[in-house]
Amino acid sequence: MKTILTIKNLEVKFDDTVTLENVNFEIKEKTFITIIGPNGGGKTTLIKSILGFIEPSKGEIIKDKNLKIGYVPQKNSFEEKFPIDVKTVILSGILNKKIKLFHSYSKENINDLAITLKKLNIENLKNKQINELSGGELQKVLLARAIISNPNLLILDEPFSNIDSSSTNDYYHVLETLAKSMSILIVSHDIGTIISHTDDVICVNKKVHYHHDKELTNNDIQSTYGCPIELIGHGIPHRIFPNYIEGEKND
Amino acid sequence: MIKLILEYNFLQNAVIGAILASIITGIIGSIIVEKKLVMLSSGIAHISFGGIGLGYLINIEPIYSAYVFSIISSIGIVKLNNSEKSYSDVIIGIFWSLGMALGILFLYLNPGYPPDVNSYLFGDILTITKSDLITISITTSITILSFILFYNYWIAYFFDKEFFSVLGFKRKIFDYALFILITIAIISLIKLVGIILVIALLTIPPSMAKLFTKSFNKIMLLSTLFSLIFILSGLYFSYILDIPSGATIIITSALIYFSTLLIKK
Repeated sequence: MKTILTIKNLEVKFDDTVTLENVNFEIKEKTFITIIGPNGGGKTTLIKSILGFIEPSKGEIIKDKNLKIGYVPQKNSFEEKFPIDVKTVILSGILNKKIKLFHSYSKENINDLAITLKKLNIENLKNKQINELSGGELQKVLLARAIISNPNLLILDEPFSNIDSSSTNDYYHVLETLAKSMSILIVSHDIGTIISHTDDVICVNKKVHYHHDKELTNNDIQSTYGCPIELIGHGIPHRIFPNYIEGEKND
Repeated sequence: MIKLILEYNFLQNAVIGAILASIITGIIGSIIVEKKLVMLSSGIAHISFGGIGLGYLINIEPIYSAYVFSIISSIGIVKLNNSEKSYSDVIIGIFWSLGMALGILFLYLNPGYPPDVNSYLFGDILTITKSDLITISITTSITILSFILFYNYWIAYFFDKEFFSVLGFKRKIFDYALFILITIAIISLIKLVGIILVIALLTIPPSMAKLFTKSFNKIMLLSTLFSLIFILSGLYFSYILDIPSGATIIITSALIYFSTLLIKK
């Protein structure tokens, strides 16, 4: 399989604190990868480095010339109360950096919108205002915005933090379908569920361990979180003791 | 009143100024309210006092020096805000006080009698000159053009700056452009309602529009309409009752807004 992104010897520092060090891995096309790790361990920093928001202090991120990234942000990164409707939000995913004066969306763009709405089964939300949506609906709209331009790498930063379990299951099925046509890199705390959908797992806690497998041992999880893990359901390590969850601001 | 407007030049200027100011309020005020930039805008309004003082000191039209002084300051605010270590309200607070302090100092250093700065602090729509109208027209044209030319980009930027960057856009350019647009909008409204009261004129009409619609475009259009109604009613009452126009415009706006709020709830 073709490599679409390579990270070599990446190090990220904030002031003098090293947040990520000696990160090395590759993302192959059409791979479903889950990033796990404790709060403050550097998951969001890793994603923001890939997106280009954070300048690494060492190392490099090599992107394939055809790499096109779709991004679903954390809930608090956008203006949830802004008076904007669903179709406008999704269409904004088509905009590209070549600014055109009096830009308007083409018929083709509107057609792409219809296809994306149908793909995610959210045609009924098209004309709704963003601030009228439930958590699950909002996440689907943000996903639609990320995939309308047909990216080959979809990055999602904790998309399940504010949605209920039935919406989460629905979302997983959508991601599984999307993974047939694009790579997915998702940050999630919901280790128990996501592990059954993912191909590979990246454990991040300052250092990064790339597991080319979804099977994680208890030792893998414990060394990532650096704390005891409670095992529940299907023998999958799932829950982190709450006293460790308080983390750094950046993650 | 219409007969009076046709008769007196200063009233014609006031009405034209009101129409132009309403358009600025409709666009920029809606952005300020929706993006929660009220504190920033209030800061920029007060910073401009430094520019007004400077204008008197170096003997140029105070409004022109206020434009330059405030644009430089707002660029400074964006620059410092982009640094990870700064907090926007602290930076705005410092610029706010520094601007006022410099204004007071420049006025003190101005030789001769201290100038009357009341019209800049509290506004006076009845003293708007042809030259003021030209300045407000230029600001209105820049505001409308900047918004219409890049409408889809602005909307994407307003909703989600981070995603906007992922799309490949230089977010900082839009940050600077937005701050400069807000700054020139505020300075152009100073002659109408003054530094102290301008923030009410920028925030009351969009807040009232939000009571009637959830669409951003409609909020802008309704704000323009409400703003025009507020300014013209204020102008009417101030003329009839012979009371200060800036204060009358704001009191009228606030009264209409709160009454509507009560009725709508």
